[in-house]
Amino acid sequence: MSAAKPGRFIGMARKILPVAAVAACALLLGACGGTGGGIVIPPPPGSGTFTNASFKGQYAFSMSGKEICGTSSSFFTRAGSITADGNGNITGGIEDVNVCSGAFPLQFLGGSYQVSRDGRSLLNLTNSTGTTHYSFTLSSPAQGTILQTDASSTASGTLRLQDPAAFSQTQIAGGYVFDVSGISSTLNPLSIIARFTADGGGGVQNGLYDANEAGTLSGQQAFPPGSAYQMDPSFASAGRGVITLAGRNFAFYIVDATRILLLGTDFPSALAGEAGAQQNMAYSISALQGSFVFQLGGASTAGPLVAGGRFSADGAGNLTSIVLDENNNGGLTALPGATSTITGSYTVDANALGGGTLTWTDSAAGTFSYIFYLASPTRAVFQETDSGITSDGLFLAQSPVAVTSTTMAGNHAFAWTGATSDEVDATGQFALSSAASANVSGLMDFNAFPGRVQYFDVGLSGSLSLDAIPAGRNVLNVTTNSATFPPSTFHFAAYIVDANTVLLVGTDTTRVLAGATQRQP
Amino acid sequence: MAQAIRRVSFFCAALLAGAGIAAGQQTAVRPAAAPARIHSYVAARETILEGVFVRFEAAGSGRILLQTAGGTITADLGPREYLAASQFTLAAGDSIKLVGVSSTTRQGTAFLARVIQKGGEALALRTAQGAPLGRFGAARLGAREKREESAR
Repeated sequence: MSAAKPGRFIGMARKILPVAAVAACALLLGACGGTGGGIVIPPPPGSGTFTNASFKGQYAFSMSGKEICGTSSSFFTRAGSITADGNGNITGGIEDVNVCSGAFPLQFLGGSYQVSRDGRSLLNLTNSTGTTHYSFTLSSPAQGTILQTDASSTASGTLRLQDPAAFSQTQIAGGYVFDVSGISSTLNPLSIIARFTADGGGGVQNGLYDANEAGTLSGQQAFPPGSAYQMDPSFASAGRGVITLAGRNFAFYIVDATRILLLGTDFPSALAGEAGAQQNMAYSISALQGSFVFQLGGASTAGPLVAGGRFSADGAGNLTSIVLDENNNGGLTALPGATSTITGSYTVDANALGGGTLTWTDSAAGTFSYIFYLASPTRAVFQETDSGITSDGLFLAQSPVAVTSTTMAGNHAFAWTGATSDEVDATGQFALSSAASANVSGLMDFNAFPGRVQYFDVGLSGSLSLDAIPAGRNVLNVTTNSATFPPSTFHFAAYIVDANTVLLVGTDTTRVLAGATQRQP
Repeated sequence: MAQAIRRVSFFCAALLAGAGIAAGQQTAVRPAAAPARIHSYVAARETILEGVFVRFEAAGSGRILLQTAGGTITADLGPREYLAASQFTLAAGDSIKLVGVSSTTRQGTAFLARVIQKGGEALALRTAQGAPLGRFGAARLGAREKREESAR
């Protein structure tokens, strides 16, 4: 049966999975899609001060995930802009989708939302094709993570408050780096990282990119002729435009002058990502100096792959203090090994445009190689270039300020995405106490696409255990405690960027997950 | 969902872009991909493997155990749901033929199957570069073919 859930329900019928059926599931997130059961009273939301008024203005969003297409699931992407009135209503918007029937824009006719005090929220959006449903969690009124919660589609991504003052061609000016990923026209996993200079008049110069399609590398290439951009005169008020980069066509949505969301429109290829402003400087080997945390996601020929870790760069081409966790279709690699040694090095391109290479070799596990484009000395888009692997992500400077259980304490929004036998996505919020263990308590919403089941208000508790050196590998373990969700414990390696942001790599052999946490106000 | 794809001409903007390309821009030389440290698919090494299906390695797994003349082999078929969606069933004792690449890593050896054949029934499991089709949705290619047909 469908049951309305008091408090967080906004007029959408949702399946509540019966307890008996859940108990009968041999596998987490398996084919347990039955209906029936009783009304479950959801736990109260966690602490916080969010209200519907916290979600007000124009928000750009970008997501990728899986949809039912015929009898099987298919990768898809969506990006767009919605306007929230601060009172629970979506008053307009537009999105671009790249689904199995093609790539095209769709205008929203309306929608509604409800924000809980802990920042967890429900949203529905209606267009001419019907209504889609989402859960999102605000880390602040300006940004959050979003999860599609339909039985026919799951997707995850981000949403960000837009600055309408930046909705013009002239505001897109200066250097940018970008990272897009998804699938090629032949269904191979594809990642492109790049940099370019926008001239504020629709022109693109100094475009350089590196593509990785199913582990086959393009090497650094100049953008082919035809790179350009312009606002869409019909939907400029949503920050929408179109752009050609690296020989590929994208719709874009401006967040602000420093950030643009990209959605590839060259169906059947499907790409999504974003471009961020690049600090204007001549990049040399000394630009990369200090401690960094990284995260990558993608695929190998075996299946989904995620990785994360940290390294230190000395400004002279040498890498030290390398730590890595990789989950390749359930096969785990942790560096450094018990008896192995790691050496690493990096280069920065002589053209001074911020590109470079990074390599480390573990005496037991082998060589790990990457390329990057620096957005600044503290941030880069990042791509793995090892044979058989297509993955990308970012690295971020790690805060030199000491992280302790006290400085980490507070409310944190979180999200993770990945796969068991197919995609699973989650978003939620937890309170982190200053205790050394048993310090996590919160709630999440979860779309288990393999079973076509959506779970809401799933309680969870666990521990964020800081290492003696928190700049290295830490551990986050959370266990669900819900009448509806199959009892599960999720294990993550946790890499701390600073007291506000943590990158997560799932270390379970039964699922491949990557995620992040972000402190709430 | 029958909205037209919005197309915008970049002609004028492209002319502007061409005028501004910096003379000194040079691409950097990238090193070749490092040797495979995980499963890697090299089409030139494709072989045909024949045997009898024993069982799936684990519940939900797309890996199977195949009894061949040379012994029991682990073969990776990609996501198991793709087999079900393609209505391709396997039962213990079925004689099957696989086209793919045997890949050895520190995590063991597996045969990455690109095509599976049972009787007169064949199913593509991977792209030519080894990416599991079920991971991303072969339906997209079918949709493109339909669009191209309707365009003709």
